[in-house]
Amino acid sequence: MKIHSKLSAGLAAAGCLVLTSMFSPLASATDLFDFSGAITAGNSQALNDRLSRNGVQQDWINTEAYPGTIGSGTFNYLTFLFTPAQLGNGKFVQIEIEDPNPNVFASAYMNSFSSSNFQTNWLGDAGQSRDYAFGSIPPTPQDPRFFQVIVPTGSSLVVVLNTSSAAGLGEAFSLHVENFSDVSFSDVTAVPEPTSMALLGVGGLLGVVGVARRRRQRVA
Amino acid sequence: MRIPSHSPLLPTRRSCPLRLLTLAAATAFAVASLASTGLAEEDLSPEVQAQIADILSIKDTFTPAEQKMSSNLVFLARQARGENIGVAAARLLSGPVPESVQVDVRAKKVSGKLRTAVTALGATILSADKPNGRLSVSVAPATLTDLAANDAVLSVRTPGRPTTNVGSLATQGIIGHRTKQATAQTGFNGAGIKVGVLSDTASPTRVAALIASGDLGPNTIVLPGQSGGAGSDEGTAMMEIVQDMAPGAQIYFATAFSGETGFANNIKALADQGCSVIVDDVSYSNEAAFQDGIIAQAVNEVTGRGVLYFSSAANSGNIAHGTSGTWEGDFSNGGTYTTPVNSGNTKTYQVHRFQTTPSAQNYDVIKVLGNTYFDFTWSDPLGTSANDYDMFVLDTTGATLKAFSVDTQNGTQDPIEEVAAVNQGGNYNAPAAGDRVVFVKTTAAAARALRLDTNRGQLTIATVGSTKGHNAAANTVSCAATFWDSAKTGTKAFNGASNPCETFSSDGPRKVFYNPNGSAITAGNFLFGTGGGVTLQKPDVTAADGVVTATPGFKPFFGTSAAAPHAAGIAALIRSARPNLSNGQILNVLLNTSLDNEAPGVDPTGGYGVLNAQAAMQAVLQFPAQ
Repeated sequence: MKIHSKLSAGLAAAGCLVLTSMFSPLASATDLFDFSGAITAGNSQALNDRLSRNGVQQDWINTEAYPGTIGSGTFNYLTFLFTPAQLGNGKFVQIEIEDPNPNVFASAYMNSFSSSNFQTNWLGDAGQSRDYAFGSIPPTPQDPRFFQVIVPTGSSLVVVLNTSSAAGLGEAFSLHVENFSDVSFSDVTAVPEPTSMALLGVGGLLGVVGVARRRRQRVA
Repeated sequence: MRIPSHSPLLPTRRSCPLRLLTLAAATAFAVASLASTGLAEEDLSPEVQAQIADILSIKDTFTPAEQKMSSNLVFLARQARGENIGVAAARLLSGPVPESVQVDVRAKKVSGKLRTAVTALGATILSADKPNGRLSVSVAPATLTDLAANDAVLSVRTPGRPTTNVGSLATQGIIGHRTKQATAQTGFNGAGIKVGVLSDTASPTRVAALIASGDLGPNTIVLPGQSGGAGSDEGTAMMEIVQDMAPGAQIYFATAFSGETGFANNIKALADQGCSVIVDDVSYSNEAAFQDGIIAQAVNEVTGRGVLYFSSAANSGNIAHGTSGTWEGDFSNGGTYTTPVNSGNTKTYQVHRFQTTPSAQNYDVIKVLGNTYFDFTWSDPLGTSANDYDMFVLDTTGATLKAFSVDTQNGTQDPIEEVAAVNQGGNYNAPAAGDRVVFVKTTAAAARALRLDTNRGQLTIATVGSTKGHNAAANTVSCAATFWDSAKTGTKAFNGASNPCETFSSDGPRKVFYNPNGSAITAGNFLFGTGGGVTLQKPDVTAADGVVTATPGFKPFFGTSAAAPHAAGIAALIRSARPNLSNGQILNVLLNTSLDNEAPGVDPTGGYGVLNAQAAMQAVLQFPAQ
């Protein structure tokens, strides 16, 4: 079940971005967050570089090494923050991004993301943009791309979405973040208290409301 | 699923002077007059008619030995010896002759005498299957005809092309299929069950690494000499999935990339080792569609011994998602051509009509090019085909011949024609989307059910029936694929309704006209239109793909190659809980507890639905323990 976000008009006018979840009970104790929207000029910050898309997606055995950056360019990004309380004992995080177009890229960081140093705190990334397009009949994007990262205990998770070209601005995508207590997709056992909305300053860092409100419910 | 980097069809090459006929000489062709009936306008240009007639007239000169050979091997042998191959073929076959080619030999008997005769030609026997009378041989093109001339030899053919339908990590399928819940609730995890896996390769290095990381059990066994050598290690990715789904099972591996004979032998070898569940993800391009070949017969043998056999349905598309690269139907007479040839005679042949409405069309069009080899088969029995059909490929305008396959079928051959790209050992020049495929037959040949397989391409005129061969055999549990996150809700249990099959997952059903021994299922009735043969519901079930594995290159692992081991793992769980259940009882449980996907009810895309291990285990526990 997707939870669609909407912007608060008043706060947006102030240059800040608040996410209000259309909150309804989540179907699984492992779901952290759902987002459907786009990176826009109004909800994002500028970047003058971006991670290289090396085609290697990160997984829980740390297959991917830091890919480096392309060097320069004009891009935009927004971020989603998940606190240690929200993660609980679920440090095995899986991030799925659905986008049939190749202009939005997802990565994950520990505690914080620095637009001036992409390597600091880098945990992993999707390797490529766009949904998977396996096979040659035809190579049509169809399956959401995913990657996996391990967040050290006591650390926060920052998910970064950036455009990889000008076409990425306004490009619709959906993001799903889920976490588990081990590599076998076991439920997270700690259920933190609901948090209040987090107002943020300019910088594009979004605290996600309501994500901690999970039912103690096994995956169906 | 990956196409292997090695291929038996990549011979070594050297430059060799050839007596080539120049294109200018082609002007010596007598331009055909359109002496035909029922001709669809502009289907075959006069030039193409002339070229087809020229090639068919060369075919008329095939000696008895050459009539046992794939036509591309006949032309290759003649090229190597500097003999006449005609103007049209010379124009297409202008490349260097390789030093050697690998061929499949079918013999009355694999005797010492035959072996001696083969090696006396300077050929190398790569593998042998005495029970089935088959040899895999590497031979110089100039001696191909001598090989075929041996009285003990029944056929010398181009080998089929195998493909594979792809810290510790676990597949998302353990959640999707509710396997984790099943093992947690019942305590049965596959312990005591041996599962055999066949794919391209499982290198010792990779297997050792996966054992060390805990992704494979410590008792994992690769049959001696059967790792498949250097390759993609798709086998280990499959083994990981089986192990994740059935943590207590013992996993075995043997390669399926040692030719059809080797594949069949290894199926039996795994059964001999005690594997009561076996799974593969390999297809051979020339596996018969309308009759069980040697691989399917091996499946029949081991299932007769109580082995549950799973296979990938293949990744060649389906009608439901508009991706089919298969056409099946009955021969329809699109017109008779009588064309002059250089000898002063005429050549007469009939063309198949692919479509009558909305407009008559005597060709099919390659809408999307997949693998650059096409297979054409028809409903004659293996080894005794007497209805001579041929295949030609034209360019997008229909004005130029680009490829041909004109094997002889006069009573002792297989009913198959195959064209392949030049870099695959064939004569197909510059394959391109938009190329046209034409079927012709002699006027004496009977109307038969026909099948065109573009091997992961797409056709403008397409049908169901993509899965075939052992992947769709009666005793195989054929597996379609659905992405583990096809519902786009994360790592959740499948519910069926939200889990469509992948667009590339091969559909069924599978029509079969002959029993494995070549006897007709419905005597005298070999057509779709008259209800001939029997129709098998294939695929049987759907399982997860796109999952993560620890094997490099399979991150993630897509394809029905990934789906089949999920199904095999569930079967291992069931076997460990109730080892006394028959194949039929287990299959019943699997099918009836599946979650319906695709069209309501059993359908040719997803079969009975997505496997549900939890429900299946609950059902089998109702059976009394032995």
